[in-house]
This record gives sequence, C-alpha cells and structure tokens, in this order.
Amino acid sequence: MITEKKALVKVDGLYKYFGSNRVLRGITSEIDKGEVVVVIGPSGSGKSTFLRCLNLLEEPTYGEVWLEDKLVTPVDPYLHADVIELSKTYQKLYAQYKSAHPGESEESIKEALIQKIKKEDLLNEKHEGKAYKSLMKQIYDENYININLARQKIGMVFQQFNLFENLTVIDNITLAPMKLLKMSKDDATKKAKELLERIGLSDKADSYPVQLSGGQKQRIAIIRALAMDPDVLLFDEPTSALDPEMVGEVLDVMKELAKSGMTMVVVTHEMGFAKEVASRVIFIDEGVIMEENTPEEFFGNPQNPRLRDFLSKVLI
Amino acid sequence: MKEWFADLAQQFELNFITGDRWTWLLDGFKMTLVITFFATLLGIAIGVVIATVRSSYDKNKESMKKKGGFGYRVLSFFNGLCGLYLTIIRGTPVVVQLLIMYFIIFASSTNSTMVAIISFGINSGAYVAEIFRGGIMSVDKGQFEAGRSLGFNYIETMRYIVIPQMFKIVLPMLCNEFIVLLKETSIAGYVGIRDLTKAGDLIRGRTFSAFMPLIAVALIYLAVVVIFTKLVKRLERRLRNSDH
Ligand SMILES: Nc1ncnc2c1ncn2[C@@H]1O[C@H](COP(=O)(O)OP(=O)(O)OP(=O)(O)O)[C@@H](O)[C@H]1O
Ligand SMILES: [Mg+2]
Repeated sequence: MITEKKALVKVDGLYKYFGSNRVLRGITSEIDKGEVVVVIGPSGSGKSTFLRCLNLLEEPTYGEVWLEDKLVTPVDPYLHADVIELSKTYQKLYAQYKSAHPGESEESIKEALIQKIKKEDLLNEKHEGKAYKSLMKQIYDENYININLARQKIGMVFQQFNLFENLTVIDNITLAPMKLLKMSKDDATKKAKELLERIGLSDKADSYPVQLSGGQKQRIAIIRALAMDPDVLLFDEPTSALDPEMVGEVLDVMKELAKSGMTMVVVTHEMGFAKEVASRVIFIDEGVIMEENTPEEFFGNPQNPRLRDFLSKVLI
Repeated sequence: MKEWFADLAQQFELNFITGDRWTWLLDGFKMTLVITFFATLLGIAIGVVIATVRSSYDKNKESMKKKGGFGYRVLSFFNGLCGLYLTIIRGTPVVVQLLIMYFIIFASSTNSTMVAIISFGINSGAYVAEIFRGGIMSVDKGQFEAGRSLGFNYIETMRYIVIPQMFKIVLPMLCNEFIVLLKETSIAGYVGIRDLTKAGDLIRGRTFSAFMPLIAVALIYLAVVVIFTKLVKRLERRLRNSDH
C-alpha cells in the first residue's frame, strides 16, 4: 500500500444508477501518466457515463475517483474496511454473528460481515454513529480536492464539440486560462495562438463557432481543453458527429497529442485509432469492464465471447 | 357634411385646446411611460433573481440533497418562497394587487407613482422570471457542461456562458413584456394616478363628451404598441440572423 506507485487516475468500485437503471456496475481501473486508454463497447453500455463520472459531470452512486493522491468524489464507506467496522450496523451484526458462530476466528467474522454489509448495502449514513462519521470526515478532509480545481486538470472533449457559441474562437480558448488560472490576456492570447498554429487554424481566431465546420470546431475544442494544461484529457466519441471526410483531421490532432505524451481516455468507435495509438483498450458492456488489454492482444486474441461478437460486428 | 366637420373641429377645440387640455394627455402619457419603464426594470431585476434561484435549485437539488446540510435547506426555502410568489402573482388580478399595495401595504405612503411602479414591477417580475427560466433552459445543456468541465463553478458558468446566450433569446420577449405592461398600467387611475387613461377620462368628465378624449387615448396606446412591436420584430430578425 505504501510504496505503491500512484496512478494518475484511479477509479475504484464505480457504480452509477439512474433510478432503477443500473448503468455502471462496479468499475475499477487505473490510468497511468502518458497512457492512452481507449474505451469501446456497444451503444448504451455506459461508456459516456463512465467518462462523465471521472470529472463528476455525473455523480457516481458508489465508488471513488482519485486524481493522483486527491479524492475527486465523496468518500465511499464501502471501500474502507476501517470505516465499516466503526459503523453501528457492523457492531450490531458482529454481536449477533458472534453468538451464532462461537469459535470462529475474528478475521473470518470480520471478512464475512464486511462482505455482507457491502453486498446488501446496509450502511445508512444517518445512523452509524459518531466514530463512523468522524472517520469519514477525516478521510475526506485529508484527501479531497475541490471539484472545480480537479476539473481544471481533467480536460474534456465532447461529441457535440460544445464550443461557446457567444464567444470567438480565441475567446473560447482564453476564457478559462484567464479567469481560472489568472493568466494575463497577453499570455493567454499568445498561448492560444500557438495552439491554433499547431492545428493550422490561425486564420479562424476571430471567427465564431457557427462559422466553422465540424472538424474545425472539434479541433478547437481540443485545444481549448489543452489551454488549461490538463493532466488528462477525456474524449467522448470526438468524431461521431463529424462528416466522414473530417474524421481524419481530428484523429490526426489526437494522434499527435498521444505522441506528445498526453494522458488520454478516449471513448470511440474508431478501431483503427485504437490499434494505432492505444496503450490499452477497455471493453465495457452492461456497465462492467469485460476485457482490458494491449491493442495487439485485445484485437488479435479477444477472450470474452461478447467482445468477440462485438468485434466481429464492427470490424468488417 | 360640412356641419359634421364643423362639429368635429369644435369638439376638438373643446377637448384638447381649451384650457390646454392636450397637456393633460401629454402629462398622462409621460406618467404612463415612467411607470412602465421603471416597472419593467424592477420586473427584470426580480425576474433574474427568481429565475436564478429556481433554475439553480432544479440543477443542483439532486447533488445538494445527497450532501444535505445548510446550503440545501436555504436554497429549498428560497425556492419555495419563489414558488409561492409566482402562484400568488399569477393567481390574482393586477387591479387587486395594485389596490392591496396602495390601500394596505403602502397605506401610509403618499407617493402613489412609486407604489404603482412597485406594484406593476412585482407583478411583471413573475412573468419575466418565467421568460428567463425558459431562456436558461433553451441554452444547450452542452454549453453548461463544457463550462463546468473546464473548471468554472455554477455561477461563473452562468455568467460567462449561459446568460449571454440566454439574453439573445429573451431580449425580444422582454420588449414584449414592456408592451404588455404599457397597456396594463392603464388601471393606475384606480389609485388616483393621472396616467394616460386617467387623463382622457378626466377630460371626458370636464367636457362631457366621451368620443374625442377616449379615442385619442386609444390611438396613442395603439401607435406606441404598433411602433414597439415593429421594433421588436426587427430586433428579433437581427438577433436570429446574426452569427453571434
Ligand atoms: N442523465 C441520464 N439520465 C438517465 N439515464 C441516463 C442518463 N445518461 C445516460 N443514461 C442511460 O444510461 C445508459 C448508458 O448510457 P451511456 O450514454 O453511458 O451509454 P454509451 O455507452 O455512451 O452509449 P453510446 O455509444 O450510445 O453513446 C443508457 O441506458 C442511458 O439511457
Ligand atoms: Mg456515449
């Protein structure tokens, strides 16, 4: 635990329910610095929801998301055995269990009870007592990061681009660095111009988003996120809303980014991109990670039958 | 025919020229404009506050409820208060609201113009709030999410991104609200204010001829409304065609 190398993003026991619709059902994964993780899966399998939980555009029902050593989500008591043990629920069950199973070792009682409490979702925040509450608070206070600060380090690129319609291209890029990072207008503009140069759209600096093509919009959306110097960039089907002839220009920007060492999590249907630049490919289906591997193994030797089925449909 | 014209001219003279009665209409018209203008401003101020409270409640209630705590209780209290205000204002006639303001709530005030402005402003606020709320909702959700994903908090996202876009949508509707209010203030006479309508009525009482003053009043309202409606239409077209 102590010498463990810290992942850049750590997702632990992530669940997301929309009412009775259980979209994510226990996702645990780590993303290291410099990795390009491509997420694929059938429509409705929870890929977008997974991505949106990473920057809390959706609030996970259970589970924790960590950005380096900082906790982005609230504390999930089910992930902390020491918290569970302090709960009134645990203590009540412990007394019952002990008298029903005399002679069983402390260790195995503990394990059985924690399993049971997790599985049946028995904790109720309000009735677990002071000790439980104060440990929860302690863990939170020691680790949490303000969500708005965390989001400054987690860039996101959307399927629908979402450039700010009321601002010019240059203002789209400089707004957040100026207001949030307190960059001077000159510095922010200089940086924005460099980024525009990099994607070959310097001449569009003063255009409004409505005057741009989809491919141009998406490339600008990418550098808007980059202007904040994020630690990781999330892409949710960045090329799905584009006319086919514009897909390439956006993928090229993403490939260049990947080469430059940017940490990326990319939800996409572009299998070619996955094969070429992914360091790891994840297959999500029915809200769980069904398979996770290097692109060579993932595409060359898929294990999970659902993945095989999926690949046979998309790789024609 | 000639007689009829002569009669008309005489009526005109009696109602508008004698004793400079046309200045009554002019002063009344000024009063109407003053009340309408300031009531619209007040309505916009109230509307912004209410719309902000209600849409931030709608947007944040899920997450805040889970965390519980003070913030949620404060917000839901104010949200409830806004709901009550909207129900009362939209559920009662304006005249009744005006009379209650004048004779009960501000019974000790002698400044009836101020009372009318407050009363119409509060009334208009309820409608403006819904205009703003509709405006906020009609801004694409992706704009809001893009703002949040960069690290802007709720208020910053509204300020830099959502509200500027909302204004383009609601500006024509706010102008329409001004037009509605202009006509609505014609009941100000109930509390002794000499607005345009009251001025016409006073002339009628003095000259005992109804036709001239009342038709004149109607024509003035009509002219203003028609001109403003044209302007709003033009504004709407401009906003729709503009790129930003
Ligand atoms: N805000 C929401 N409220 C309710 N249900 C939602 C919400 N967002 C997503 N869902 C549901 O969650 C499920 C998974 O959606 P999600 O968008 O994560 O799938 P996806 O894998 O990204 O699919 P696609 O490939 O079509 O984008 C769907 O059944 C969807 O209806
Ligand atoms: Mg999706």
